[in-house]
Amino acid sequence: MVAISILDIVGGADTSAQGDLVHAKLTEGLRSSGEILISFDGVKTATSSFVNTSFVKLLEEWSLDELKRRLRVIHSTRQINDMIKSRLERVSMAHA
Amino acid sequence: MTVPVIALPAQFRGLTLSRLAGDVVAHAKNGWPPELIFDFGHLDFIRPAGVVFLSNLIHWLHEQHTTVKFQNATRTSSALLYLDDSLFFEQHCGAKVRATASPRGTTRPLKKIAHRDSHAWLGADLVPWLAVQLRITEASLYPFKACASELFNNIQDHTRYDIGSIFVQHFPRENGINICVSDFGLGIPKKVREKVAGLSDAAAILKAVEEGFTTKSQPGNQGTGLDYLLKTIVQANGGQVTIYSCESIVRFDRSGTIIKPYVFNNVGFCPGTTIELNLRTDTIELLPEESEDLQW
Repeated sequence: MVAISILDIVGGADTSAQGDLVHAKLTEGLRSSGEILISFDGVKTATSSFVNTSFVKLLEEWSLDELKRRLRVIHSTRQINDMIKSRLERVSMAHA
Repeated sequence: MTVPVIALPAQFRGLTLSRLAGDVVAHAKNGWPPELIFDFGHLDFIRPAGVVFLSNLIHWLHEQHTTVKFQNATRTSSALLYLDDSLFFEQHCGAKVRATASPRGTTRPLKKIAHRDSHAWLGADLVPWLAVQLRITEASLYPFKACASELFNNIQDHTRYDIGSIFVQHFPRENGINICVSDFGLGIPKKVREKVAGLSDAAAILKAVEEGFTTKSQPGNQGTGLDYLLKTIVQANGGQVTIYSCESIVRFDRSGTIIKPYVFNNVGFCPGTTIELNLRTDTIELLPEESEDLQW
């Protein structure tokens, strides 16, 4: 299992530039490993720009069902979880 | 050449904000004057949006190479004391009018902030301060912090300036928090018309808040930031969002379960964009500080 700390990689979840870097790590992890553990420890909020570039872009390569199976988001907050879930579900539904 | 004198109205809030800037623009028909005076002689009342709007207007005038001077700013009135305590004069004149002026306990004073510093400031200053003011957990305020972050991202994405102004006030007796953010960029309508030509200013603002509409100025833009803002503040919290940009003002209120826009056309002018968030403190969902894992 690959483990990723958002705080260590990019220091926060506020901008699309941070999202780009996280997307690269997630893509690398998804291509090489079964499951990815993503820790938001120390990060309190995520913007839509961050989630669009980090998580939503993954839908170009993987289905939502597969992402749900392979991504585990831990030490997060309600706001971050709601943003990730709602953006992924919304875009996945639009592409269905 | 006579230096134009622009008198601030007695009540500087709501529609009068754009009217004032409209008066300023009327003096630029033959080019921007090298100097302009704001007269504070009649000002009796100003809301946080007025502080941010006026400050933004002055920054914008500087961009047009117009020097701005103040008249009757040392007069003793509650509005001028408030402006002084908001650090408005410190920012624009280099010093407070009264040596004893200092930020009030219910405000985070006027701050000009670069995008790169904005998110850290929101997390390290605004959220802890609001949590103490409201005696609630910081976790309960994260959705609103994310909204303010969305606004600063918008400033960076849509203007050539990487800077915005913010002012925040808690109104305990009104059960409200007022957060105002402004920039002196192109303005939402002009940016939207680069993609959809022919829209009026108000129609362009309404287009900008539609979920999925984006000018695609940055890869992360998928037309979700302003939509998230309205859903969080208007639909979920029951608060109000007002957008001032170019020649229109659009206010969003909750009507039943839907978000209803109220459009004010040809109300004057707003350089760039000013966005006013009015949160209700009595409807904030109280959340524990503990972290949680995402349950798909």
